[in-house]
Amino acid sequence: MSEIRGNKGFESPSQEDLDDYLRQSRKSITQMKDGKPPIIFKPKKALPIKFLGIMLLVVVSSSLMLVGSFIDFDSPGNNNNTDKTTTETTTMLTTTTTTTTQVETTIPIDIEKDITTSIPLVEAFINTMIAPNHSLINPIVINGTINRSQTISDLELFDLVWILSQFDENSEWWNLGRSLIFEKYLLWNKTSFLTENLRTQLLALRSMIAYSNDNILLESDALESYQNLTKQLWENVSSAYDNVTGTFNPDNSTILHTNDQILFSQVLAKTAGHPTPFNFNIITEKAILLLNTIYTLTEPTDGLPESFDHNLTRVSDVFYSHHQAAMILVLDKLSSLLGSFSIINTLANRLNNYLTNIFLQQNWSIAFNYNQTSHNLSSKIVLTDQILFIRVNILQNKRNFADYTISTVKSSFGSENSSYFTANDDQETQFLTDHVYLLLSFEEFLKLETTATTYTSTEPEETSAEQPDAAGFAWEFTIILTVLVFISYRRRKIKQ
Amino acid sequence: MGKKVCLVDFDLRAPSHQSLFTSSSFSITSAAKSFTGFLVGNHEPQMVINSTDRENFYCVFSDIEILQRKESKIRTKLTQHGEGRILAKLFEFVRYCNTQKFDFLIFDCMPGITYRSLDALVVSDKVMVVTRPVRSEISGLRLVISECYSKLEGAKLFSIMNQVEQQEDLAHIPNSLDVNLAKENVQGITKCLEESSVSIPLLYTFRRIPFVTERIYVLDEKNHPFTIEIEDFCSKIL
Repeated sequence: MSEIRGNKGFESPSQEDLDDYLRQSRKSITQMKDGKPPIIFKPKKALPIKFLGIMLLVVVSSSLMLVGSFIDFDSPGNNNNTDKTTTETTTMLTTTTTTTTQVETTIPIDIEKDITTSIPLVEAFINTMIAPNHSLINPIVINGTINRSQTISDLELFDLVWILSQFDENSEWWNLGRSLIFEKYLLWNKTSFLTENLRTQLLALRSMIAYSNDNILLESDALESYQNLTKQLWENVSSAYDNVTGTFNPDNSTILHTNDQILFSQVLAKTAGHPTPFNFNIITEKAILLLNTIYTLTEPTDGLPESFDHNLTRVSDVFYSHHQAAMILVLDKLSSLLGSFSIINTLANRLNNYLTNIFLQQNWSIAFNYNQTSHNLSSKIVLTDQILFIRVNILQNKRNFADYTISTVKSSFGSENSSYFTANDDQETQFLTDHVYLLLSFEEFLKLETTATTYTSTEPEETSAEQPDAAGFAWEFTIILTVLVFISYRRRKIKQ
Repeated sequence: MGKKVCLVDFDLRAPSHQSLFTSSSFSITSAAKSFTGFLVGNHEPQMVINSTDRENFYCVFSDIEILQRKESKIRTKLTQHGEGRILAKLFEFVRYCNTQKFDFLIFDCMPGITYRSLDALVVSDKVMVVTRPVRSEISGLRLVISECYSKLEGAKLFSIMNQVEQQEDLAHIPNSLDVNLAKENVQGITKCLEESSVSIPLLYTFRRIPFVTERIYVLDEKNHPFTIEIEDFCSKIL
């Protein structure tokens, strides 16, 4: 969430840090009131897990050295014993570090299992794409089995790159997306998208802009393509802008579909924060106007919104609820870029109300009754709705809804017996990109959970059933070792 | 009321005042440097206060563009939270405003508990808690009260509730579930404030008025319902 909202560096302090900070702040203020210099302090931080691990490592290593010296001193030539001790201790060290990590972990994470199950699918999908002999028509390998030949379009590839870009900066997934577009796959270099349809261009631009931080885009060979695309799309949208009414008219433009318009808003919103040939304010203004135009399509003529159903009837085939969720994500991005424009917030709130209404009142049971045996169009839309809805709620910090949604989605998929995480013949590429989306949602959810419950930045670590036993063994072994060292030291002293 | 007021956009993460004020009939008569720049030591306090065409009203803007550049040194400095440096700068600004005879210095903070909002809380005499009757804010408010507000010593706390559906507005909502939810949320916020371990009196309840523009209604439309509510509110608190 923090990455999307742009609030990196503005994290909430932990309860302990908060108390310390308030106490020291008051002291500092009092001092300054007395004309003294301010106190420069640092909040007390929890002992990092790694440090704890290293500390234990040092303690045990020291013990080992003492034992080694004891054995060498008292029993010269007893190398077998030394080797055995070293082997056992090394095994123990690994376990001890893991145990320490587990002690710090405070979150019961059921969905980790799902993430773990999902990762091999995503990896298989991506590895297939970036294979040396890749082509746009390539078999998809899932769990080591070639299931079927499948056409992966540019559109889907760009979509995937963009989803990957939403993971934490410099994370494994994020890096994978970056390498896909700029290095391994050189997506930007495909001349086809310059003449391709608008949606592919928008997706290409969105993917490139997603990696514009740290000058990755600006210093890449893709810069020229990026600038050409931006210019071209800008001309498109300018021609659709009606100066008289101050709105965008989709009928007069090349932007015909709501989906494209939202996508374009996304591009504009992101473009606003980065160097472009265009003026920052104009771009953001156009993005807002564009969103406003889209929103107007769904607004009832009698003023106040009544129900989502009413709107859905009016624009039945162009404005699904996932469009609304996507718009909220864009609005949130704009809001964090520009500050809290009331119009942005109004739009976001009203849209979110619609969305909540449909889930709460009308389609809640239908929406979460995901039938994994039939991957028809409607069930895919419902799935996308669910994933986007999770993201919207995570983003807006509505933990209850996010919690409920994600758990329901999880139970809909099932866990042990679910075929969702196992590929079927009729699954399509969109289904796999859904995996990445879902993975992203899970990761974001974990962060939200961490923030909400413990206020620590501790990353949740994998847990296993064997760990408690291993931990017990490790601690017992450490204690026994220490006692042995102590006894041997005493014996040495006595001998001396 | 003739008071000398300075409004500071202290939502460093997502500053909004600049765009809000420039989009209204209200205008800045002398543009100043950004408050963000002052906090990181680039500017003096007198350089960041904007004069306006309204007598006795001044405003201070934070910089959005600096924050967007991740490599920016200023951003890095701002994110070195918890050291007390920003707090010291904030106190310096408060002290400067005192010398300039400001009656009110208002910090508009970012939502939630962050080091920067703690800074503002510590240097302030009074804390106005703005809530909305939505479910997520009820639990959030309870958390903020127990973890933060209850530990503020000396500061007087007040609250206002914004965007509350009035009875006559609720009558137009067709679905009774919505009506009940709206009422429950208002009761939830009220109960949360009443049960608070510290005193946070609810000063005013603003009704939900649909806005369609970004104008400042108290300046542009004297008879607008929101303007009337604001005037009523001011007459009660001043």
